[in-house]
Amino acid sequence: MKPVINYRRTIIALASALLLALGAIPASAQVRLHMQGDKTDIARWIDQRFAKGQLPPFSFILDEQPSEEFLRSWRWSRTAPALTDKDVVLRTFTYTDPRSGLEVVCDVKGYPEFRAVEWVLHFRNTSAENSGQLTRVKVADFDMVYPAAGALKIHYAEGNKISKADYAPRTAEFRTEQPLHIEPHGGRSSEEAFPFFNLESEASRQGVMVAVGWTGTWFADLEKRDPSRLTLAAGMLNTDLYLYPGEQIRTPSVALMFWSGDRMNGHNRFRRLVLAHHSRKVDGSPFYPLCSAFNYRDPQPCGEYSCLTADWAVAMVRRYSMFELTPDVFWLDAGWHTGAGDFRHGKSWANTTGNWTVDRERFPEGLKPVSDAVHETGAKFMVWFEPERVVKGTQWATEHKEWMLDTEWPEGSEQSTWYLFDLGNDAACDWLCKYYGDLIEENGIDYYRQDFNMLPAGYWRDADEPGRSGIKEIRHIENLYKFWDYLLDRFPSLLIDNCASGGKRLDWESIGRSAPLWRSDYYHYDDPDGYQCHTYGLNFFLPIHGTGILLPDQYSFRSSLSSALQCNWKVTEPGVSVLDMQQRIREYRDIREYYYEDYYPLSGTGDLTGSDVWLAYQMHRPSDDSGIVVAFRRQDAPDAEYTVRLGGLTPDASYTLLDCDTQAETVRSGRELTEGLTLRLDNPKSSLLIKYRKN
Amino acid sequence: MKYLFRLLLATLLLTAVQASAQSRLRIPAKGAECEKWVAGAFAKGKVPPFSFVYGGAPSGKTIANWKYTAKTLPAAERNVTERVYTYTDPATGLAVECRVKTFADFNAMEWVLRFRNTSEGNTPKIEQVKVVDITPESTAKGAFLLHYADGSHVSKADFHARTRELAVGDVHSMHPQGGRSSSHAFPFFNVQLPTGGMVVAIGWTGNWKADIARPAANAVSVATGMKNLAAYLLPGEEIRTPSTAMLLWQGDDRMDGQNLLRRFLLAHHHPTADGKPAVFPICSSFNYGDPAPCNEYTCMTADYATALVKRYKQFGLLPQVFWLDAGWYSKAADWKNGYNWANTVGNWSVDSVRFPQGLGPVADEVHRAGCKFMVWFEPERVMKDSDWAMQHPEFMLDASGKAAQPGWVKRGSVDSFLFNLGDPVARTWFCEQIAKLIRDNRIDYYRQDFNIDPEGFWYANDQPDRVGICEIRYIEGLYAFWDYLRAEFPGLVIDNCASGGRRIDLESTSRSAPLWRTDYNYGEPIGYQCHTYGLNMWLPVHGTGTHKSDAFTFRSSLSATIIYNWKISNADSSIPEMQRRMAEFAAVRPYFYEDYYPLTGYGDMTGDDIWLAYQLLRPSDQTGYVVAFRRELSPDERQVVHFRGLEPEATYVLENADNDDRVEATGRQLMDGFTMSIGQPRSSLLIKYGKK
Repeated sequence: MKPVINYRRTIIALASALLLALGAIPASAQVRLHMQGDKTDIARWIDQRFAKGQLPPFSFILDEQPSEEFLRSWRWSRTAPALTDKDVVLRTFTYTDPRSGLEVVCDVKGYPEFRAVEWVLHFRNTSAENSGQLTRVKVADFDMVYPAAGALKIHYAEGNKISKADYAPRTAEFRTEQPLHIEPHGGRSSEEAFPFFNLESEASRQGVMVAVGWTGTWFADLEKRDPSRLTLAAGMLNTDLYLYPGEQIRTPSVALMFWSGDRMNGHNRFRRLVLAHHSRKVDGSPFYPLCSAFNYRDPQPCGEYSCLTADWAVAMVRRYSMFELTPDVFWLDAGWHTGAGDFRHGKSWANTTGNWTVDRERFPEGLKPVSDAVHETGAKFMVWFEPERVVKGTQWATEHKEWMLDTEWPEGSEQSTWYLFDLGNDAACDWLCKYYGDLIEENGIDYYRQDFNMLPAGYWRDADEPGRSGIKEIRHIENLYKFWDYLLDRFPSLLIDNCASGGKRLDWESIGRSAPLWRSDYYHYDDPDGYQCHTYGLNFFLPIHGTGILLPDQYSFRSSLSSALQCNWKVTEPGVSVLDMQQRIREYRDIREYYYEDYYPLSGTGDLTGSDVWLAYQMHRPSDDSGIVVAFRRQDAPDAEYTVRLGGLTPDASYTLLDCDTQAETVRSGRELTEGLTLRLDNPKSSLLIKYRKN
Repeated sequence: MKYLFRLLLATLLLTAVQASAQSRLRIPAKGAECEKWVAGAFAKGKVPPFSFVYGGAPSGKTIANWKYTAKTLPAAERNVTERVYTYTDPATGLAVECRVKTFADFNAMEWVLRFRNTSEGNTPKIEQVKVVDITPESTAKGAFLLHYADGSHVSKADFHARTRELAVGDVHSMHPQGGRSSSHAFPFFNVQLPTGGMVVAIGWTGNWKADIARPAANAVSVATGMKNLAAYLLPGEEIRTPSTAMLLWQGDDRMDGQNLLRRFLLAHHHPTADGKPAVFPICSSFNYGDPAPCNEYTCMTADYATALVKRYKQFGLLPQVFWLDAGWYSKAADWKNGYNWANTVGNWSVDSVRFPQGLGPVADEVHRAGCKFMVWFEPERVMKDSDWAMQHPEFMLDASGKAAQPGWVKRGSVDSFLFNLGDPVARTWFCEQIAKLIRDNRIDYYRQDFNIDPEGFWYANDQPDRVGICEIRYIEGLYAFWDYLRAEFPGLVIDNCASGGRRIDLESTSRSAPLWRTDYNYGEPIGYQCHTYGLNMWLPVHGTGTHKSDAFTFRSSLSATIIYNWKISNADSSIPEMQRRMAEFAAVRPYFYEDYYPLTGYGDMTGDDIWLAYQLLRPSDQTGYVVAFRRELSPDERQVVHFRGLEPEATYVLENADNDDRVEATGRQLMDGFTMSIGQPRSSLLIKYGKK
């Protein structure tokens, strides 16, 4: 979704290697974890780290007193819920202050097969009085002690800033007493920062993948203490509050996954962990769909789907079907709602959110006839919503004024016309759940796409009660999860597409419930090289993400290859070929499963945004030793040849490589391919797709 | 035998001189004088102003002695007097009938010949038929010029103005290529003598011919007819010839003659619909242009078409007519088996897969929007594997390899027949088929295309010593078919297309108009400017498409009619801009039915480094428009143009349609030279002007 915001940022997020030089100072952690990489026994690790009398790997300050000073004296209990999944270890550790009645509940999940663990904290005031002041809640707070001293590195990714470099892979080496602070900008979890990273001790040949789960403003502080010791602290940035009697809050979650060997072992196992245990599954499958637009893009001043009508939509569905281009899902984006089509009065999809009724002028019988036409083709129907941004004067803004949060924006700015829906209000959330649930049901919607084109941080801040900084954010995020969980529960086959001006709300919590099918609004600039970069960067961490494809030429199409895809090409214009589109879809369906397998970047982690480079990567399925290599020679790349070293292969095995364009086959050993495979593209701005299999 | 028109100095007296007899007739330029000249020229005992060779002998030697009758027909048309002169050879029974029209409101005349064998035996051979065989003459000094135009040859220069100065002894011959009347040649021309001239229009939608020569210092000869006719007639048989109209004009400005022709065509050769002069419409496509391998409308469906009509309405872009072009019929969509719109003609049933209930639901939606529905047909070209070819092989003419058919209309080795419109039985069936399609599908307007050259079919099917008969019967049948449709559907309008405007002539313009005047590079604006500029010299009513709504592209397509081929389904288009253009077109359009003046000369207009400008003038109220283009490579920001037709002493207000610029000037100033300015290359000016 195209961002509707356009303003000069007042806060610069601290999310790049530059942060190494910046001065946020993590408190010295009191917990030391001796890193064991693949040898980590997760069940044991959990029980040891959270054992009675042990300082757990989290911390907070209560009434200015660090938890390390009192937590061991609190009442401790442990429960081990009955297992529902044999591959998952569940524990709940509860720490209760016998004096104030404040309770800290830590829910821990372990994934022994993946050497991974995650936990989340809940603070509950069980007393009849307000709690003490909670600050600096660090859901993770510990030192990692590696067996060997040497370079300590962070492999991270750029957050989303609507650029070619969104999710670009970065590596930085820590320097002693140069702490690194990371936080996203504006209240969306992956805006200009990315809550997934890989910490590596090169000398120890191991590391840990870290993921923070908070769809608001999280933070991570890292500092090298010595060549074998690194401090990690992570949590919600703005927490300075007390709790009312009986009140409970949750915190961000943190996930750790220990690995050994090459850093890509960590990345790939993490991708598999996500697929196995932290992604939405329908009928056991984590696959997200191949989507198609409704002939995306209309004449000005139509924007998105503000000119779409039921007749036109049905005609388009049948046209895709006639052209044998029926996707898994027809994706109806913004603009179907009431008022969005009134361009004669300056209305658009963007300034009418809050009118969450179907525009009866354009869809006299709602969206159901469109849904029916979609279903007749065998496809599913996904529809865009943006419930949290409510434009002043719209239905919700006037009918539920009590649920509107406001903040100060420059007078006359577009932002000043927006409310934030007070999702943190339980009554509002419950109402939303039913309202949207019914809307989804009545209109025959299969999949739910949620967008969020605003910065919520200021609204939260202004709505916080005195002395309770952070409470609005916490409630909003809690209820965002509650809302999504409600939908997932009410509609067992529903998928959630998580969009926030592109992929600006990606984090451990959101990816467990949804996937970003529109990972960057950079798409609007229609630059295939940018999409290559996004696939290349995001694949390090996430197995499921998607983007659009505007033109069906091979170079553009392959640039957008990902585990999910939205075909935004036109089916009403000359200059393109239905046959090309069919061929591209066949190619995609043939190789898409590899995007749910292991990933090997083949072009390093340097700057890949230039027009004079090659970019190549490999997707590998270990179960049958097959995979694909995708490579691009960019427009200004001078070299027709490019040598890559494949990963994940069996050295002594023989592999057959098929060039999907020329159909030429070659046979090479795994060793040869690992030592160097020379790719050749004679023409600039061209691509290569190689399929390989073990003989 | 020739007649001479002598164009005398100031009075523009025309003198018809029988070469042998030297008979003189003085015809002043005004009104009934033309009628008077006709009466004299066709008088009993005179050699009439047409000729032929009969049995090897020139008609001029004998026809004056043939049995002669003359009668005036009852008035059928206002301001028109129609006389029939019949010359019958007492020896062979050949009757030659000449139907002559004269006009009270124009100094014009026209006629057509019919040859009828009234005997019981075959006639001798009739050949070298000159429907008009006259010699305008002037004793004044000055150039003898022939103004003519290129035919359509699918180029930027289609209909481009040409002028040739005729020296004594020069002969300029013109004829179209392939059997379509305006393919590569154009059957309208203007013979300019020192004191005036004669505009000639030929009516024959096949292979006509015109020879313009300067046999003497004071004369130009004009002969028109069919290119190939050398045939005897069977007992009782009758054939018709091309018709020819002539308009006389005075003065030294050829545009006086051109504008006379434009007004004459509107007054006397413009089709009617529902009893009134037909209004050729502002059209819109169904979002023209689809992805490959769709072409034209082979991927159109009832759902999509209906949704499109609603979308045009939603966007405030409704035309007068929705125009459904090729590809709606059976098999056209079967690209998997190599079919397309072009190689499936002859399958004249609506594709029931894409239009399960025919085109009626689309028509109904169009009508609900308050518009008319025009549909494309190409009935004459019949693919050899099509339904019609299979059902009625007896109605098919086969060229037997004598007609080259372009590759794009074939499917592999499968090419087409020509439907034998000259066969009355076939034609009756043909008329009924098309009428049924029109009726069943609730079609309002009929667009007819014709994408092959027919002459090879005609000549391959002529009997020995009857060269031209097949063509004559065909063309007669074509007119009978069109006249049938017009009678059967009184409100129907015919859009005459033949790979663009390749069948434009006096007869076809009487029944139709070319709404798609050329197949030249769709949407290329420079060519489109040239086509308007050239064709406007002759025809007031013609149209083309506009593929974009930017001012330059759009104005390049300005004509009396238009089809909006812009897209309403992509982000490059702007609805408000399209709406503005439609409003602009509505304002300018009436002036295309008025007088026309090219303002940038008659030289090569196809270059990228020039200006092109023209003026439209409504003399009745002295208002009009000037349309001007500065092309991409034109170095000049300014261009001086000389307005025409204004009142010298009157004051005129000029307004720039793109801004608030407004100036006043006298008619004299504007005619002496008005400087226009366009700062940016590839830009246009639209100036509205009117007498204050």
